[in-house]
Amino acid sequence: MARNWEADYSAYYQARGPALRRTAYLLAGSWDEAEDLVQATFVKLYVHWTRVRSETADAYARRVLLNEFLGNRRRRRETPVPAIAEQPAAEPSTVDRVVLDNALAALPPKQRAAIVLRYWEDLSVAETAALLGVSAGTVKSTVSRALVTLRPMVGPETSYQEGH
Amino acid sequence: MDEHVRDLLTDALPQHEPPMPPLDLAAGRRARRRDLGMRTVGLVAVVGLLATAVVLVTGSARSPDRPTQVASTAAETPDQVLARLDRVWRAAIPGGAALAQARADYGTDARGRYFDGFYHLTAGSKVQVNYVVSRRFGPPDQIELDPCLSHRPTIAACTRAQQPDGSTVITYRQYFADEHLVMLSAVHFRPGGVVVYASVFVPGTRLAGATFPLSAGQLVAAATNPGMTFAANVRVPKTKPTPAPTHNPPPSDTPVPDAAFPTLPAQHPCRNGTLPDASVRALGDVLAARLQAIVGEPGRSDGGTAVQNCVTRGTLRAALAGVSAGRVSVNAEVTLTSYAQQVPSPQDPGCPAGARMCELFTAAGHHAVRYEVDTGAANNMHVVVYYGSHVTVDVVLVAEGNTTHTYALNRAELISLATAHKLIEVVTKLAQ
Repeated sequence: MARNWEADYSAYYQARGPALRRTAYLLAGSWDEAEDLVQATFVKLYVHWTRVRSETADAYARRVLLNEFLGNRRRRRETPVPAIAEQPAAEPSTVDRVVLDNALAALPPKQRAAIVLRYWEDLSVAETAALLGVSAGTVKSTVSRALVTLRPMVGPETSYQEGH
Repeated sequence: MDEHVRDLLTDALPQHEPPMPPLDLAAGRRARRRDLGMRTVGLVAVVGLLATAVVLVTGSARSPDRPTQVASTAAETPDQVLARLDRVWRAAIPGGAALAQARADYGTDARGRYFDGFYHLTAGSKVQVNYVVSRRFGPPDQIELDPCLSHRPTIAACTRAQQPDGSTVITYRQYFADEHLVMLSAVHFRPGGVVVYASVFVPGTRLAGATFPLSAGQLVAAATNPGMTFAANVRVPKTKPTPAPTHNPPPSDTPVPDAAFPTLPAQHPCRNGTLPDASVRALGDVLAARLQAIVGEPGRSDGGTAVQNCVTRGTLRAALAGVSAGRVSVNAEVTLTSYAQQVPSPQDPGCPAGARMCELFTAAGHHAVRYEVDTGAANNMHVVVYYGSHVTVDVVLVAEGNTTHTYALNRAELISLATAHKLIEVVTKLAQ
């Protein structure tokens, strides 16, 4: 019996693990931390797997991942040194990537999370607000502030005016 | 606009993803077992608490060991009770500092913050003791630690006294009007740490005093689990409190040799490679000072209490009390050993001997080395050394599968050590 749900759990990891790790990378900015976040997320998923319904597993995993990320950031005492981008030496557009990484790294954790949830995970304002535990208005202002920081990367025409 | 941002995020993902690590089912199983265990322990704790409550209520009047001399009568006011208790304590404890025998260490969390704790005692048909973390302090050097300056309306009679040994004792009373409680507390600021002595009294009841010998670990656990409860022991001091351990003051002007860590005094407990429990806290001060002399920063491990830094010849040891995922999870001991003969330099990156899964890569145009250290325990230590304009070292301790301690020692310490041209080998072992 236990093996059945473990098989489901393993299959879920195979199916959703990579995507979750990409989200974690965008949040954390490094593969190492992304893997740690995903690992912690899946350990917690394992503990509660028998109570997680398949249709809500993604949302639950996303929430755990986000909590892990924000919790990690809160626990860090030192001022983070700007992340050093990891990439093979031969990868193209290295300079752009480094600048981009630094721009993302400059965002406070909640702004970064809001941007990733809204634009990478494609969640609505309401869904993002629910995950972050804030109001929809706070999400809008958070995203707006983040976009101001990222404006040099995104383009001068960027503004945040949506209301959904 | 949305597309712009999505493109931006897509661009932020490296084109080459490392392969997904295999699923660590064992870590999940361990966590599940721990979860089940904690539920069981919680149930047992509740049962134990209720049993203790019954003993407290029914046995306090009959037991000959009960502190009848401090029991209150209904005719007394809380102030009268306090005055009497003061006299009892002052007689029991020479020095007159009104230190109760009840003792609870301050706790620190993973970020080095101190926790203050109040004992919340409710009298009635059911006696229940809740440990309530009412506020969190900043680093110990912040004035916030002084309860006399906290401007809490319930705090009264706050006094500060300098002790002959240089430490400071602050005593104060706290009233819990709603609960008809009075707490006498004393905070003892010693060079090696802060100790809180506290007792709670319920005037007008037979429950005269309650002591709460909580360890720092329990306080941290309580702090991260606000619903956690502890049983109370009711007793009166029959012996003097153990005096604070003494230690040799750190030499302030000891020159730090360039090629090796300083050695310790011949009588220093670190000489024997063991740290007597009773003197660990005091030792922390000496050792932190030594670490400070080496790296120019306070000897504090980012993961925890940082009071057990022990520097011996070539070895720096820091004990961590880690908090992860809202609970106390592991105590890890980290040992850094320097090898003066193995000197990393920006021009000569390489894998250290004994490292596994060592990988050279390029980061922002600089060489870097990432490797894993076999700790010999149920955890892994990932070390990343960046060879840039200066050498930086990141350490990530992954313990028990799901518990991640980042920066087991703070970055500045590691950078300082690394830039001192010492290759760092990190060895950890878990001491659950």
